[in-house]
Amino acid sequence: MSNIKKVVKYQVMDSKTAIPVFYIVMLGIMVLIAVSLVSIEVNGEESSMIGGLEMGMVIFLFVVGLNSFRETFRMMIQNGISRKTMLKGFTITALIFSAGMSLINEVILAAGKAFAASRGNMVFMGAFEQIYGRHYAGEAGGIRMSLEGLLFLICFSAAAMMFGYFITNMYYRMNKPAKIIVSVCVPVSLIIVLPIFDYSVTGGAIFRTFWHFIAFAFGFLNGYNPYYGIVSSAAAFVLFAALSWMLVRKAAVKD
Amino acid sequence: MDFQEEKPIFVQIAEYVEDGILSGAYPEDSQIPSTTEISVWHKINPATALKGINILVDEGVIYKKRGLGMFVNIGAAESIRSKRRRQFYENYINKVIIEAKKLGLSSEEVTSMIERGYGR
Amino acid sequence: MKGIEIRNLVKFYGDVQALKSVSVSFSENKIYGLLGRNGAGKTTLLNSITGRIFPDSGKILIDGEPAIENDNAQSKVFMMGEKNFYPDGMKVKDAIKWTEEFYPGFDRGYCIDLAEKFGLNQNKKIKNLSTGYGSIFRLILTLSVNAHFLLFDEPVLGLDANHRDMFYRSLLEKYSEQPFTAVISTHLIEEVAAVIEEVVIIKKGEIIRNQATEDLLTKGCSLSGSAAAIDSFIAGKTLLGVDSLGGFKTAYLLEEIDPTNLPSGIEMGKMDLQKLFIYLTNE
Repeated sequence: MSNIKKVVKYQVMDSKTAIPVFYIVMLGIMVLIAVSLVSIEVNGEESSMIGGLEMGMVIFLFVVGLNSFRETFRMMIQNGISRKTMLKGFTITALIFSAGMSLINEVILAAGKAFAASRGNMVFMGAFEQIYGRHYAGEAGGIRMSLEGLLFLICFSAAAMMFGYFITNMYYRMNKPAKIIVSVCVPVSLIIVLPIFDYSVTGGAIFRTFWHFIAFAFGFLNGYNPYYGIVSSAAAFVLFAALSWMLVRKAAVKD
Repeated sequence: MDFQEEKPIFVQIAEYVEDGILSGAYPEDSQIPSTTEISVWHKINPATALKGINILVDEGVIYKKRGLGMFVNIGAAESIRSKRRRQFYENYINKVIIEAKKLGLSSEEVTSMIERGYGR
Repeated sequence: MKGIEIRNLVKFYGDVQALKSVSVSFSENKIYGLLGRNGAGKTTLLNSITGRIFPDSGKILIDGEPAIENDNAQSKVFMMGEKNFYPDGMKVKDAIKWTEEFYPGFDRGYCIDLAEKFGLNQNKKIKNLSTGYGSIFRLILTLSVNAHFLLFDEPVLGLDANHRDMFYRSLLEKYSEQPFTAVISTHLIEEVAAVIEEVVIIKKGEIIRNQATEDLLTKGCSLSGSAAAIDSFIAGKTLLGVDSLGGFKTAYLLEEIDPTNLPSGIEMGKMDLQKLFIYLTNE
């Protein structure tokens, strides 16, 4: 068995116990919402269930990414695994996790839709459909939407997981003062300084540009074409992998 | 066994095995412990143990049976005894005399002590 | 070339030079003692070999292959570090399972036997092991991996006398059965003196001795006598150190002296490794 496979096996085994917990919590929340919605729509009005599952999954994988470095790094070094192999292993692990969970998500969506259909007056939508649904207006069956939604979710959640990995790597490489400075300055400048500056000096131009960029990257400016989002997410995944590599390649074990 | 600083460990290993032969623990034609056993028992490097064993092979005290191990030669105890007798003066008497001279003990006094020791 | 070869290794920690152009090789199937005082650079050297840290310059070859970031070269090495590298929540038995996964030569049966012999509870979490059992846990894994090169950094830390004894015996047993290269870094010299075949002494980031243990021991000697007699005899000889007590003087030398040639009034003694080490690494 190649070393990369061993790393993947280790990483998957290391984090897999969190997955059932995640789904139990998410399903619990969904059932709760479903029950409350069912009880609300007594007067026969149409109600919709919002797919918070995808958002939860993306956050979950981001956190898994955050937790995939520190201990694993030491364990791998102890077992003679190079940093290169380690990162390759994590990259594959991120794809496996996001693909696996996106597939599960697809199944839950289908089940939810079937349930909503059986109720007749309910609409069940995943996050992808809520955002990109208008792109598929008038299409029957929704197979294409399902497949593209799956692809989008895989890329987007893999990027989130890699982003988490990158953040934890960045913190690992920083010394204590740098950690404190970053932990304080980044939120403060993003949440307080930048909005004030943008409001009073640039007249909102910064945020307009930012939203314009997001809208472009996710295809909102081009007929909600999902492939913009897919390509952007894949690019972010590659970017965070590359940045992680720059950080991990010279990372030393700390005592 | 506590090793002394004065002699290399491999010499002490050889002497240790010789002691075993002299005391009858390893009779003629019997097998002596393997290098591994000696090494593990005394917590010494196997190379050191082997070096000690090789002294005895060179002196003809023990011999190698291919695939089996080391065995005590016929007449080994006797040859060790005569070797040690030859070394007795150098190893023991000499030291006694040097110390006796330091203390101003006469030859007669030392002799009487030796006799006293024998008499016990 | 078989073995670990280190050439001109330099490592800085900030302004402190932990390794000053260290060159040393650990050849096949020998037990080395890497001796040095605290902070001499022992751990830095071992950490560099196993890629835990990056040297600033120099070369490390394992069986002729560059060691840094090389999975194949690193698969031949296993290091028992002073610190625990296993995840906090991991149990001893899971660490055994994973080590087996990463090192195909791992001998599970032997490992379990050793764990029982040492009384290591395999169901315990690694972080909950005492210092002594933490060392024992890592020692057992190291002895069981069957890698060509086993590096031990302070292996007997926190072990009681019985366990230390068991460790040395297990090491020698394993080594006799199937030789490997062992590098034992320690400052507890007395115990390893007879176990190690070669001695490498490191002082302030520099290798000051690298020779067969026995060779070093034959050269080291102490001469005692009246100050005048000693002074005249040792003139021009390489001195390790001198102790004087009133008119009585003991000189420590690193030179082979023929005892039959000694002037009267001078007594010669040998030095053990511990003593030699102390005088060699004194400030």
